[in-house]
This record gives sequence, C-alpha cells and structure tokens, in this order.
Amino acid sequence: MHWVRNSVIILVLLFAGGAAWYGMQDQASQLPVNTRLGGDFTLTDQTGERFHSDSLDGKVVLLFFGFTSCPDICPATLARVTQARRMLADEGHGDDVQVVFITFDPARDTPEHLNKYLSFFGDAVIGLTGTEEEIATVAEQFGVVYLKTPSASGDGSDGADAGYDFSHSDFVYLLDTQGRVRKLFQNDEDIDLMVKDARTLL
Amino acid sequence: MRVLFCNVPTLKRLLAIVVLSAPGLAAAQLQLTDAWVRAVPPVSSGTAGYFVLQNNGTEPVTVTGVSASFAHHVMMHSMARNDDGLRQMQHVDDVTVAPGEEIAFVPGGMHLMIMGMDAVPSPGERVEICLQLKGGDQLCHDFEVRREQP
Ligand SMILES: [Cu+2]
Repeated sequence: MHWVRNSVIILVLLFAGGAAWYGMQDQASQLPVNTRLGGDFTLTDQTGERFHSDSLDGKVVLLFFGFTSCPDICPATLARVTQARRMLADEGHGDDVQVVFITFDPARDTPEHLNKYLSFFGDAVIGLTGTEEEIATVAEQFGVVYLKTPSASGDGSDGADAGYDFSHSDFVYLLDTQGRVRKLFQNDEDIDLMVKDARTLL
Repeated sequence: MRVLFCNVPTLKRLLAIVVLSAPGLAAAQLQLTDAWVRAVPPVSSGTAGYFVLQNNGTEPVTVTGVSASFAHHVMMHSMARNDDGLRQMQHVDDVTVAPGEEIAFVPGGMHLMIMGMDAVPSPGERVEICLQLKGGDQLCHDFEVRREQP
C-alpha cells in the first residue's frame, strides 16, 4: 500500500508548502498597488497652512472626500474611519496611521469651520480644503466624481440650509507609507476589515 | 388624542409601546423602534434621524410629515444612486407602510433630515421627534443621540 503512504507524504508536503506560502503572504501586504489612482497634491489644512501630501510619507492613510453639510454619509464615514484609526492606535500604531478628509465645498468648509467640525472626531483628522480648481484636481487624481446639486432640503431661502448639496462617489482610500493607493473601501465597509488591511501596510 | 410612552432601554435597542385612548386610530397599531439621531459636531448645519416603523394593523399608514421641537425643519429623504452612479438625497413627501410591513430609516438609505437646529444635541441626549400621520394622528417618540448606529 505504497500509494497510501505516498499520498500522505504528498498531502503533508502540500500542507507545509501552503502554510509557508501563507506565512510569507502574511509578512508583506497582499494588497495590489493601484497605479491609476492617487498622486501628490497640495491643499490647505484646517489650520490655514498649505499642506503637501509628502508630509504623509511614512504613514498609512485613510483618505476620503465629502462635505460637512452632509448629515448622513459624511459624519458616519468620519466616525467609522476614526474608529478604525483608534483601534490601530490601541495596538500602538497611533502615530503611524493618519485620517485625511478632503472637502468638495470650500465655500462653506473654510479651514476654521473644518477645524471646529473635525475636532468632534478627535484630534487626529487632517481636514483639507482649497480652491475649487485645486480640489477638482485632487478629486480627479483619485477618480472621485462629484456634482453640485440643488439641495433636497429646499433652496435655502427659508434658512433651512444654504441651498446645495453634493452628490458624490464615496470610497475610502487606503494609502500605504509611500502614498500609493492600495485599496478602495465602500464607505460602510466593516471597520474590522479596514483595520486588518491597514495593518498589513504598517 | 393621548399617546402614552413606555421606553424600555436595552443595550441594543429602544422599544416603545404606544397605547392610544381611542381605538381605530392609525397610530394604535404602530411600533417605532431603533430610534436614534446621529451625533454631529456642534457647528453642523444638520443631522440625520433613523428609526424602524412597523405597522401591526390592518390598514395602511401614511407618514405625511415630521416635526421636532429642537429643529425648525425635519424632512424625509431618500438616498439613491442617480444616473451618474452617485449617491443623491431626494425629498420624499410621504411614506406609506402597508399592514404587516415595516419601513426602516437607516444610514445610507431613507433618513430624517434635521435642519435648523436651535442647538445641536450632544451624544447621550434624548430628543423628541413626532411623525404626522394621514388622518391627523401624531406619533411622538424619544430618539437617542449617538455617534454610532445601535
Ligand atoms: Cu438628507
């Protein structure tokens, strides 16, 4: 019954090989580099200072776009992404992970407003604004589409709001320590998965 | 009309039992659960409210409007992908819940759009929001202000 013993040996070898392969994959991230999206950019942060993306080098970044007058998706995404960062901070990676929020709405989201708004989510969020052209350029780099639309809440004449919203694509981008896009999450992605994927880049 | 509330907070959800003095009213067979308002920064111009409304009665129930004492405008919005594949909010005039059915207002979907707040409520606070029903009834309920979905 040599074939039985041989089969067992082959199975053991296969298993060992698989385990070794899995172990290797565990060391380096399996997330492919997205070469189509991302790149360097310069905007203005919530302190009013110019901000260049190279100051994010060395950090794993969770980046997304939105506008603070959005009551539903944007605060929800901010809450989720900052929670993911907190979980990594609890593992000792607080200084290695950065959350970045880029607004579509420079008219209402001034640096001062962004500063007040974002402080609610902890002190670890970088909020970026700029001219409409600057923001459009960065959005294009990340393949983000956004459209200024009449507000669903009225035209603002009765003080209900300022009369416009943005409909927009709403991914969360995971960038590695060299600023390369490694993954796009749906904005309602499981927080544990965001943490797990970010961890492979640390 | 008298609406009596009995809030039973549990770890995960809030359950309200609505008792009405007069039988046959639309609100009598309604159960409102998972009621919460998103905690947002004090400088926010608006926030969103969520709930599940279940119709245990034999007649359809239509919500025609929403109001809250702490906000000047509360609207019902849907969230849909538009032609460009982008998410867009849309105003909804009324919502009907068929007998035996329920409707869920959840993040990323239907939501209450709360604008013109006198003061933005803080996490942990409770705010009362009232649903106006077709026929003149009103269903009021405490919503918990919280940062995360329950
Ligand atoms: Cu809305």
